[in-house]
Amino acid sequence: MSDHPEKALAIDKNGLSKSDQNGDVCGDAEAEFPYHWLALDVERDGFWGKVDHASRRVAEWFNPILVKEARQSLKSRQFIITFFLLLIASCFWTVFGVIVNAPNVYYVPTGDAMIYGYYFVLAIPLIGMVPLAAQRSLAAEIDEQTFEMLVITKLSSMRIVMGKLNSAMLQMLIYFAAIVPCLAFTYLLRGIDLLTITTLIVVIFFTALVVTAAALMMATLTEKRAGQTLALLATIFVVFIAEIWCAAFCLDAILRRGVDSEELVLTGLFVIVGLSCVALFVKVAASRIAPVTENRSTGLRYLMFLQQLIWAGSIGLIFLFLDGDEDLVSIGNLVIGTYWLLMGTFMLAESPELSPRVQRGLPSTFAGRAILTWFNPGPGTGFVYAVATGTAGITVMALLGMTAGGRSSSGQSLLFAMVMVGYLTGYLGIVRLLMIPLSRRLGRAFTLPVSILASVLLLSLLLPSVISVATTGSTGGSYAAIDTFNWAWTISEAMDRRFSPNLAVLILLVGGVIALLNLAFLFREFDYRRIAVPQRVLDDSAGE
Amino acid sequence: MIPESPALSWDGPVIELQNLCRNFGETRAVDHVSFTVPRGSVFGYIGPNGAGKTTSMRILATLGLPTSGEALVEGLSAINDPERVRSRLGFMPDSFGTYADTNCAEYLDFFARAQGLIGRERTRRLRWVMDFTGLRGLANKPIRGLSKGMRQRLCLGRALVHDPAVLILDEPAAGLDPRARIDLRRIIRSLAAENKTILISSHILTELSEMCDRVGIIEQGKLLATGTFEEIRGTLKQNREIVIRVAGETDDAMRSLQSFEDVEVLSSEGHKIHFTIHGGDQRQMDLLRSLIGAGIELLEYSSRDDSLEDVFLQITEGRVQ
Ligand SMILES: Nc1ncnc2c1ncn2[C@@H]1O[C@H](COP(=O)(O)OP(=O)(O)OP(=O)(O)O)[C@@H](O)[C@H]1O
Ligand SMILES: [Mg+2]
Repeated sequence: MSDHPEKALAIDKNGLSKSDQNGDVCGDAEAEFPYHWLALDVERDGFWGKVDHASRRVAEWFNPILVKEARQSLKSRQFIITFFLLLIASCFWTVFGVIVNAPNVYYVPTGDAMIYGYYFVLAIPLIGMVPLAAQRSLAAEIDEQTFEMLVITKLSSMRIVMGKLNSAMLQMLIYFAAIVPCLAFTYLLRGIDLLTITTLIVVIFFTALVVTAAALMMATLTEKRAGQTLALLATIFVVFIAEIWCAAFCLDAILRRGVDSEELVLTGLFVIVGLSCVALFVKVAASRIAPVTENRSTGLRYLMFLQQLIWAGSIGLIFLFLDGDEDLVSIGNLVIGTYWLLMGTFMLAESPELSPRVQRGLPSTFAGRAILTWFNPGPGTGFVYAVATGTAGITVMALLGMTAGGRSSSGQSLLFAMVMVGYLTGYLGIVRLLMIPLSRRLGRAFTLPVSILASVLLLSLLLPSVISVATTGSTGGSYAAIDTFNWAWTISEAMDRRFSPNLAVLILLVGGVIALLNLAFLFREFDYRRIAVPQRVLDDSAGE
Repeated sequence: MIPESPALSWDGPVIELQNLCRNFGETRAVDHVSFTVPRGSVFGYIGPNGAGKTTSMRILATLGLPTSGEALVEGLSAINDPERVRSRLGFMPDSFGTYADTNCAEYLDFFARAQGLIGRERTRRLRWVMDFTGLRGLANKPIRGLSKGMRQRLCLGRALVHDPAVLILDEPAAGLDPRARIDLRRIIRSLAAENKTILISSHILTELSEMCDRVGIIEQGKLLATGTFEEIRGTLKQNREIVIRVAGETDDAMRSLQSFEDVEVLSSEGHKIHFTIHGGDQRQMDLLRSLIGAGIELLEYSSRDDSLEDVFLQITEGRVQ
């Protein structure tokens, strides 16, 4: 902070002379200047007055951040450049496409050829630019200290994140609006129907939404510069994957093969699963920026539960009505197992000390305590929650695979489920056991359990080969019992429907033993009791 | 004004720190600090660089967590009920960022919206803030183009926009020109007159002397003294510098001065004698009485006791290592 009065004086003098037409900034001669329009009530009468009134009233409903970012970003260079590039690209493609198809445009339907170009014109800014801009916008707030002023307002952390997401959606809408004429043009050229165009837009839009929500979450993961850079790289990677996925789905499934009921069901499921991901990412981002004393975990756990239901439901639906292949169930279970391993690892970073504020909100009845304790924050409850919910989900899916695939069921989906449950409990249990001593020394950043998990997974990939080289002098050629440590190999073996039931049971047993070891460290988090809300807070709520 | 909220019925201390501690590794940034500020008064928080002012103010403003202890605003915990505290608090940090592509009016409008103000209520608050902080003529200026002093005003305006009952101002006068400082003083006093409770920090004691009802002096995380300026000065055993001018020769005066143990003559020139005494106001009065009692013809008797800087230096110097 500069403490040079002379310098400050000089700057101020400068400022004063610049605003001379505004007169004295110190407030005596104010009456001469009109107030800024934002500080004025609408006073116009008649039709336009009413319109003014109405539009202001509508704007009150919008998230303040959306209002601010709309004002800001419409002036920002990044937006203007992207917008005009998009316009130019779409015009270029229109002209180019028409010239290339020159004589045919008049007689043959060419809309289906034209839309490929428009797909890229829309998908690249929507999936590529908007998420990165959103992440930068949130990260910049945190980096440039504007964020703290924001969090101490009445805006909840959820509204802050939603405001950012809404602004991103507004940008998407504007880009989309720019390309609507082109889409109308392709429709007029025939060769493509409205349903296809709509499905295409829905898929692009939801992909962009999921990636944007993920990008916002990435922005909140760390405040450090280096971390932010890593997070940005991670998002760029996600964007890349999403572009490829979206292009594959849109160009191959929707455009090449045409929209039929299968594509529609897949699109619908994608929208639902995508929305649940958006909800989760947004909630994570909001929790990251919420006050530390707040309960930042229970809401997320409910969401994860919901997400598992949606995932299992989607896979179940596809399995029952589209594609009765048992592999599908196993892939669904692989996702569930990985999901809970990861989520459980994140939950291990939670602190076992509950703030008084969290303790106020704990369930108070016996039944509530019995059922809802696992939703309370804390690494122990998180471990049990992840293992229990994951196991339940995997089991239900496996049973589904067994019964529905009755005609040809090989029982492999059950073996695969045993492997997944064993790995989930085993690996999560090991991370937790390592986390207990390590967190005492290294703190509870979420990067700690994640790095422990990564190292454990890596080690167990190498371990079997190391052991067999040490004992037999060569890496064993075919899959043996020792290779159960090698999760990658095991999973691919189990997928190939030639897995030995004995080994599956072994994996399940080892996982179970590790889980039991973990339970020994649990009793403490069982014991949390609800505490009374302070009288002063009750009085204050009564006064509101 | 916003209609009086029921919160105003709270009649305990509006700001209260209870044994607040905050460690950064080995550093004890705040070390068992406790004080209270009653409604409508201005509390000056004074300390050298790194004393822990910002750290404790940020905890009070719900932006940091203490290692132990409690920070209360109107009886509500800044740690466990940050939302409730935030709604009655205006915080002006010592450094803050601003948005690109935004002008002053948009900036204030945004925070007014963020504070949940709508419709006429908001426009009225915006007009009030712009008039009160003298930002009216700057409404269309982009924030990036503002001078330091103007940014300070804008930041103060932002802190005031929702008419909070409590203001926490971290070095609001830093970088202001003399005239803006006087403005600031006027603003602070008129806010206090409206029954706002204000916590204001500074390195410079004189800066606060005219706007604060009470001050607390902090160094190395420890609160060394609290009270009014007079109380703090009065409790000090200090060496006070005194200059006297006598009518005739200085010999008599020198003689009677040297009869006091605690007097140390620094210089004597012409009719003036410059010396120090050891003690506070009481000692100074006693000395005057005895000099006059001894028949010395005094023309002038002045002390440099209004040097707040000295008070500050004495309190903070070497008291804590
Ligand atoms: N985030 C932090 N990490 C580590 N140490 C910190 C952090 N913030 C403050 N400190 C330390 O805490 C002590 C108090 O700092 P603080 O900013 O509260 O002082 P201050 O009284 O506001 O000083 P100044 O007058 O310079 O603004 C300092 O020793 C500082 O180094
Ligand atoms: Mg400071």
